Amino acid sequence: MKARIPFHSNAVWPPLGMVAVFAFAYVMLEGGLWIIERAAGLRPGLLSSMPEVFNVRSGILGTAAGIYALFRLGRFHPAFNSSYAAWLKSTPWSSARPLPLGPIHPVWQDGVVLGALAAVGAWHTSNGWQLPLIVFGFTYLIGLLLLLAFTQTWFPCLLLGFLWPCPLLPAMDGLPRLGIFAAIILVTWFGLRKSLQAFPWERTSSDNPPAVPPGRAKSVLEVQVQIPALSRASVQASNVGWPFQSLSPKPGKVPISISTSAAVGALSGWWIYCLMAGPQMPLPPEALLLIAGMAALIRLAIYCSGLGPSFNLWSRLASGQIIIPGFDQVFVTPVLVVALAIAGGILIRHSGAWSSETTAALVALLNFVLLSGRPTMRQWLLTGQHRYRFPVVRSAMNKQLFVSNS
Amino acid sequence: MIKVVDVSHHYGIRPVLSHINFEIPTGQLVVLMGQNGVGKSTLLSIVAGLMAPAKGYVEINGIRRRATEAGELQIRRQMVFLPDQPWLPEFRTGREWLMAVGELYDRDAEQLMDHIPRLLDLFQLTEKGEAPIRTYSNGQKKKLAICGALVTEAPILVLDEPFTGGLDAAALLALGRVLRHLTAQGDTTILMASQIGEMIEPLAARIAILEGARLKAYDTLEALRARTGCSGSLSEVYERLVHPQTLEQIENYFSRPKA
Repeated sequence: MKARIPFHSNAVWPPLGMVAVFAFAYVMLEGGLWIIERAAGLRPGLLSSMPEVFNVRSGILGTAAGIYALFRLGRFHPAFNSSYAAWLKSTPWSSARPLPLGPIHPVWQDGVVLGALAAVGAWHTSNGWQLPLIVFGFTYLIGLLLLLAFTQTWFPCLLLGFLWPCPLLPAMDGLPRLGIFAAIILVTWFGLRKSLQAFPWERTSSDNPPAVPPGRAKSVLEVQVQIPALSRASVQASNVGWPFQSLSPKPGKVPISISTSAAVGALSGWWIYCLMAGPQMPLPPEALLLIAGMAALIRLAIYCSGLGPSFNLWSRLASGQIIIPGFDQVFVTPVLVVALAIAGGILIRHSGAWSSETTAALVALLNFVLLSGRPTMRQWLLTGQHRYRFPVVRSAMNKQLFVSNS
Repeated sequence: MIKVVDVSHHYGIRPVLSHINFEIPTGQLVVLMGQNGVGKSTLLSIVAGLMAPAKGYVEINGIRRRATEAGELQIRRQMVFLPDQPWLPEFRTGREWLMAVGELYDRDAEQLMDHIPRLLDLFQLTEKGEAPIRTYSNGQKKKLAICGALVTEAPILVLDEPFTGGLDAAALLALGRVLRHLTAQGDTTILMASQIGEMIEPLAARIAILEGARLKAYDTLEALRARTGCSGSLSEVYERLVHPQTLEQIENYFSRPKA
């Protein structure tokens, strides 16, 4: 009979070293002030009641709360701890059971730690008891959002992307803002459960698509949005050298679908709307054009990374082949994005409808075009009329830095 | 089968390849010869898919290069290209790198575990197999790169100067034997550039000679001998085709009576 893995809830206490460091910092501050007051013959409490000293205390308490939040995630979530994940994989653990080293969700021990920080804050700082709690809450929730992205739990990630800027809106003052925070906590919790259910997290790539369990639809985002740095396949591919990687039968690039482009476009538009409508951040057409131009350049840089035209501008002029459709297709989407930004800006300004809504709609459209514009990265790599460049590795040890052209 | 159709390319205003046409049937080894800078590596790069030509196209087993995503991927699975100077990841061990290349071509892990030690042994790299590539000499790197091409077991090999780059005599012998074995089986097609007549003469089914951006000759050694009226080695036939005046000049030099 398999023994149930015990729930070591007492394991979530912060390590003694961490407590000692912050206690030492606090004691050093207070002790230093006390000594100075005594040595200078000042009235006791004169220095320690100065606003600057209050801010230093708040800083120490806030940092302690933030680091504690990171400790809670980094220490107890297998996604942040590869050896823990490797060990867990070899055990009969499933998401229905508690995590053997301790839970991710807040437990009473967290209440004690945060309560202590809040009590010190209420007694000793001008910000009162709220600051450590707010810092802990934000760090914990943002950390969990990153964790969801890390474990490719995309649907809750996307929902959180829409929810996070909502508190900026003026209409959310008061109770609705609390409702939004409650929704953020709820979705994060749901995402955390989903991410643990998906353990062990197999990284997806276009050449090794994830197996879809029967009866469960896979979100397009799950298979189409990837973080290359996290992909095991891409790590392997990036290490096979030249030209093996360039000519690989596994290019590892997945085309971004229309629905994914639409979702990301809408998300960017929503953030712009919230930022413009909430803190009243102005976004004039000139700034929008600048952003669109930079985004177009970034797309171009990504597409042309490690690639070049088969022959240069001088060769084009000399041969009379001014346009090379197979290569010049790479410029179409960036040019279209800039043209849309100019045309959209002019149109909206002349119609007198320059508002947070129209700007957000234009930003969403630009991002949609930028992501869904042809050719896709995969099309471009496999069928573009380009030349794979020899990698420029600036290593003193690498003596193979030249390639003959003939 | 490799089919090169009307391929032309130029660097600036200098034409480097002009209307090149030839076909390599499956299972044949063809050697590309020509002077330095005549366009051999450019032609190999175009056939291997490393660059697109200005005009013309390449077909591999009836599939046109870079025409469709599926077609290009199918070609890539069947072909491996070994350039004259590849770049290998310096911090990986030779064995790790060979495993990664084999996996890229979907070779079975168990099969790789068996093949890689044999390859390392063949090229006297067994002892270096666990060492990072940065510790290899140039000759050892070249040997490892050849092992990388062979570990893929791709049915089409495109090799740029495989016999140069500091290979020792044992490695030259081993590579020659491996290439001969692969072509003797009849299912591996090889296109390679080389200038070492003695090495390629017993291997080449056909010889392609580039001169002045054009394909000057593409035939069997026997046919080239008949064409030049020279019954000597491949190097002599090549010299007679490409540098007829050089042979005369050499004869003149030695026939002049001493003063």
